[in-house]
Amino acid sequence: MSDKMINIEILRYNPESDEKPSYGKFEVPYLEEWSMLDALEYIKDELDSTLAYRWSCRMAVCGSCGMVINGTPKLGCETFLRDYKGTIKVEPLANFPIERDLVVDAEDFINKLESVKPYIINAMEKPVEEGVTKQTPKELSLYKQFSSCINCMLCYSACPQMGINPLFTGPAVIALGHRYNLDTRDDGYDERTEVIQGKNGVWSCTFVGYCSEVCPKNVDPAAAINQNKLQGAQDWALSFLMPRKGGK
Amino acid sequence: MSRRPYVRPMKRTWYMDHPFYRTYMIREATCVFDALYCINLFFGILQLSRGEDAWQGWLSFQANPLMILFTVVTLGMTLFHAVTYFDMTPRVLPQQIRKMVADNVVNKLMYAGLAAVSAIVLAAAVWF
Repeated sequence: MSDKMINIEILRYNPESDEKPSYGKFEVPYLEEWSMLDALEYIKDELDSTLAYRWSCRMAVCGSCGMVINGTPKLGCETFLRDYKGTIKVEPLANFPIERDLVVDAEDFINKLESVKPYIINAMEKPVEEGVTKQTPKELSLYKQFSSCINCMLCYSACPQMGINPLFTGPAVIALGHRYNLDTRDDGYDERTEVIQGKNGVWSCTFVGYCSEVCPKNVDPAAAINQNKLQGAQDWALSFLMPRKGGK
Repeated sequence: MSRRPYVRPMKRTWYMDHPFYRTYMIREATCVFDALYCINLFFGILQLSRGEDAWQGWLSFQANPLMILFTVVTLGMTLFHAVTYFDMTPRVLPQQIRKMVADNVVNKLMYAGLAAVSAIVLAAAVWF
């Protein structure tokens, strides 16, 4: 084992015994290549087996290990201990109820995710005889960036509007709705309008922009949200010219 | 084992907790200075309509050191707002346009637009 040591303070909460969360301190020996996830694993194996945290892939793909490290929402698996000095403060994702220790309750997020219908609508209704639905690389490039989301919820933790109005649909969900709206194979724009343009949709966003800063996949959800504000304003103006959408 | 999720209250001073939030709040606060300056300008027009004495009074009020300080601060705030706003503009454009025009080109066009409008306003002020 290495002789390098680092102090880690973790916001702990046990729903069975604690009234509210408080910090637990750990002294962890570490190797040059250790990530925060390795440190948490060491703590659980060697120091305190009751520590609860989520993880899976260890390679920034699954989106399970989101946490707030020294005030910044980050993935534990791609945060390296060698980049820190002194004490590192680790907290569960902000703007989510804490289930236990670093594990947050993501149910509300999952419900919002479902509400935006993040799948291609209508494409399957085309008869097989009509052939495959083609898409050019140019058409793909329109939405590709927004399809890289891994649902890690770092953007929700970064968004102060999320804390002020917990009903806000939020960055990742709107970005994903935008991703399908931009897909040439998709026909679900109208079905997503209520979620994206409704009371708790894009208009709850004030373009703080921190969601895009913390995104580990460069999705830029702030751009997705604010492109939809322009789209919404355009739809609103057009609704006066074409109240029946061209005779539907 | 029973569930008892803990909801952390949001601090009133949340924007003090992170440099990114502080910059955001300064950007939002620029509108306060611009609004006050607009009121000042509107008051100036009102004084102009009330005759020469009132107008001269407004002009000497503008020469007050505190008013000069306020004007300089407002100019700084407005420029800060413009820079941050121009940085954000390319990202707000429809994705179809964004894929055709590079972000830094849009950003430079915004500055060019600002320069053009400023030149027109200045020219109008000199010639009329």
